[in-house]
Amino acid sequence: MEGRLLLAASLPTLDPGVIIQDGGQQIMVDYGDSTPDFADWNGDGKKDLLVGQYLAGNIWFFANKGTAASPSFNGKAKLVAGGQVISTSYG
Amino acid sequence: MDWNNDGLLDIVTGENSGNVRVYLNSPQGLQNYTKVKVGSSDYRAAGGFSKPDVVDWNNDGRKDLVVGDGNGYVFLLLNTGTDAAPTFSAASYIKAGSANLLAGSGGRASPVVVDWTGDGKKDLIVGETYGALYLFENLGTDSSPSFSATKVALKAGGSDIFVGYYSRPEIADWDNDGVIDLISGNDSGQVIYYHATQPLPPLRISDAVIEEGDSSSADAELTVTLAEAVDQAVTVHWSTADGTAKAGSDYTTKSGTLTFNPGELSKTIQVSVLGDTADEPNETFSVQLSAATNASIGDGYGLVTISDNDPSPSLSIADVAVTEATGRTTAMTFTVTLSNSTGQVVTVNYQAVSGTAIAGQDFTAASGMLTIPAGQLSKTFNVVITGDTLIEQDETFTVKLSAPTNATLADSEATGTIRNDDLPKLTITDASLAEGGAGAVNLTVSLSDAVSSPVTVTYVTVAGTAAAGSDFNAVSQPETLTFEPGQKTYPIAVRPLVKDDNADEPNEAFYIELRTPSGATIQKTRGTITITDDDNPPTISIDDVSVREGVSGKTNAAFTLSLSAASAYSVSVRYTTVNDTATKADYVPSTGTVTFAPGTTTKVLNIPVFGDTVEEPDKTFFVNLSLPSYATIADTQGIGTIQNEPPSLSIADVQIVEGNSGTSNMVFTVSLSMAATQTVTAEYTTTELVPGENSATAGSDFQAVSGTLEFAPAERTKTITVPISGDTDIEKDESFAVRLFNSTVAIIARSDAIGTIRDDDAVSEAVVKMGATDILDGQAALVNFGTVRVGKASTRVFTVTNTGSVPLTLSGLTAPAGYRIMEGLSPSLAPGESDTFTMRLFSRKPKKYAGVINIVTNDADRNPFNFRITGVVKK
Repeated sequence: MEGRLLLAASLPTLDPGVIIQDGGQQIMVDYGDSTPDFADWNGDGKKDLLVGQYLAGNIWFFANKGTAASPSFNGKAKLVAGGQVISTSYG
Repeated sequence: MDWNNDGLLDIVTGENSGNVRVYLNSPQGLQNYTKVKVGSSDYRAAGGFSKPDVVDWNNDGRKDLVVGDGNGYVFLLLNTGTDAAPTFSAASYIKAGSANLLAGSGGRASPVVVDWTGDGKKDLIVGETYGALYLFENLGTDSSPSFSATKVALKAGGSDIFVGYYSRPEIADWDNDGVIDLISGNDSGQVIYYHATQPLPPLRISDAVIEEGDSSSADAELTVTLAEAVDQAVTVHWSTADGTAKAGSDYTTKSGTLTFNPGELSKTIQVSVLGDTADEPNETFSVQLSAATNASIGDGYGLVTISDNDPSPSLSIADVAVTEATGRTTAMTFTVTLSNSTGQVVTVNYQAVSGTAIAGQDFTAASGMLTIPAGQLSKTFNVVITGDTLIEQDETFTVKLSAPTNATLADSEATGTIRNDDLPKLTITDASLAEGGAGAVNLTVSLSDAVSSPVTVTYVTVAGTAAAGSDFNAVSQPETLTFEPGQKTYPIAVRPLVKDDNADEPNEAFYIELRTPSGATIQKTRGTITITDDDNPPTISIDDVSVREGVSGKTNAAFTLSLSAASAYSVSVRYTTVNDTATKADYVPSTGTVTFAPGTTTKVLNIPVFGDTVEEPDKTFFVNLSLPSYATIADTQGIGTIQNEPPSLSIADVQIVEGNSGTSNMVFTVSLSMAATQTVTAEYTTTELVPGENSATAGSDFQAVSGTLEFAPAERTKTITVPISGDTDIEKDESFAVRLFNSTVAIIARSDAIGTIRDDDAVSEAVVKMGATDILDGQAALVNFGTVRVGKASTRVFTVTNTGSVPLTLSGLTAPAGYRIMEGLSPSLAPGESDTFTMRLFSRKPKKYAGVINIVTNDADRNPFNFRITGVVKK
């Protein structure tokens, strides 16, 4: 195993990164340190975007207004747990 | 994600404290959070800033937690509860190689678990402070991941990804194209989407292990597989590359291109591996893939391990023996040998250990490490031996081998033997003994130095002038003397044979000879035993001799010289004749040396005296002895008396044919050797012979007569007549004797004459005459043919007459060498008939011819009739 180098040719090729938009604007959560995740959070059959952030420790929910194959977002909301907005410690 | 498997999505999140929060969902919405515990305590990632990912890490059907922390490390919390109710009992660092996996030097590990390499095994993509996304490839299995020590920075659009600070990756098939895409957050709060495209199917090459063999080559086979079938032909180039195994000596370099037709999934590559007999470590080389078309290279490195099949060699050391050299050192060379060749350097320690040979005294202490270069089979080292002059046993020490590397020990000990070169010396004394001395003589065998082990030597007797058997009893089978430790002398008693003779002789000697020493050398080999003579030289005596001078010629006066005892030497003495009344007219004066051969005691010295017919007194001369050698003279003078020769009387034999009747006279002639000046008388008488067939009887055959003959002065012959009676009886010839006795003045030289009466009745009688002279049968007669010159002949005519009464048969006539029968004989003569034969002496070779004429007859008394003849042929 030693001396074996993983070859880039065997990996998926990645296109240049694209900044995801929310209502025509780049998503940029407050305080930065965005931590994205995906799930069909609202159960409409399309993946939604969940983004954690720094300092406030909120988790923003971006509902997919596009399609499953071509998501698009327009509007966000903070997730609430137990009646209160989620706030982790410096998320 | 559904943490509690209730069909509702839940939120699992980290925070700067390092805790991991779980917000469970409910129909009423998210509930307040709980913290993940490890055991009974809240879990805190060590470096804070926990970033969890939830995955069934070990494929046990239960969700596990993977948590990055602020220091850049990633932890694994394995679920010890159920999939629906996870509990955790421990957190551990995830490793990359042997070290803890570290996302980046700035910390803030943000892991996500995904099979990014498409090999069916979960990999880790980790974000970190400086905004890169790193791939740690799982080189283990899907259920037991093991990560490469090296991280790979993921690229997007050909460049290393820089998300911005604090990259926080997540995966999702964003565009639902069946390929997992990457999304990441950053310090700015942006969300960046990286669209992924499925890679070409990977080619993978296997490893291979092959046993090298001893001499021939073998093929190592590697398999190249395509992960999935493709619609187009796939090609890939491959070539060998050295590792610890080298092309040319360990394998044969090779390269080529493989082509997978559409649908084909595997190909093989064969590479020749070369065998040898050298023990060596396993060696490796590689077969590497490159330049794939229509496929990616997933694993392009095929490792070929050549496993060594050669035994580890064993070491042996051989014994060595060296003879010490007095006063200097000697190198004793030990050889350490390998049982077989090896490709590795072999080392072994050696040490010389004292035995009976002591380090520092008998040899120089020696130890060290011996290095046998790869490929060589032996190595030597020396131990220095110190020579001495001690008489000692052979000594030994031991050389021990230890701590071998790259070999085993087969024979780890050798004995070094220092052979003693110093031996004590053996000598033997001499001894002497008078020949008449009884008892033993003692010799001593001595050893120069007392030694601690037995010394043996053998001895035998060796004859010198003294002879084995007569002078001493031989010891021919070696007798062994054994010197016990400490013993320095050994006596040998020798008992020469007592041989006390009276012979004067030299001293005699024999030897005790030492042989075959063991544990010693012989310095003096022989002990001489001298038997000294105790006899005086003998004395020489000469007797007195009287000799009658004879009537003519020379007669020897025989003096006897005597030794008082036999001598071992040649005894000699000078003699000289000295006249007394005799002079050189009477004897032959002479001088000379008489020599006694060793061992003889008498010697006769002949002094000739001259004979004559002169009446004279006896005369004397002397033989004087002088100058004796190895003797003394007891009687220095012998007296020789020449007795005057008196006249002598002789009577001759007569034979006569008896006749048939009447009386005939048989006349005997008595002769005087010389004329005497006085009257000579002698008595005579007839006598019968010893009674028998051939004895004539007085009275019937002859008439007995007796009387006295009287020779007047100067008279030389007289006759005696015996009457013989004839008859017709057929009988043998008969004889009687006439005897002279009681002579005066003269001596009787021949006293008895035989008278033979030859029977003429009914027998053939051969009578041979030469002229008128009767020739007697029986070689009494001698006919002299005289002396003739070469080429001349002397002839004699003989007459043979048959005086018998029946025919005389003459069946053979033979002549001796030098003579020829000129005229032979008739085969038969009637009674009274005669015949002659002629014999001639003739030869070209001058010499004396003497022999016998034989006439073969039927004469009962004379067959063959023979007589002697003589003659001389001269130049």
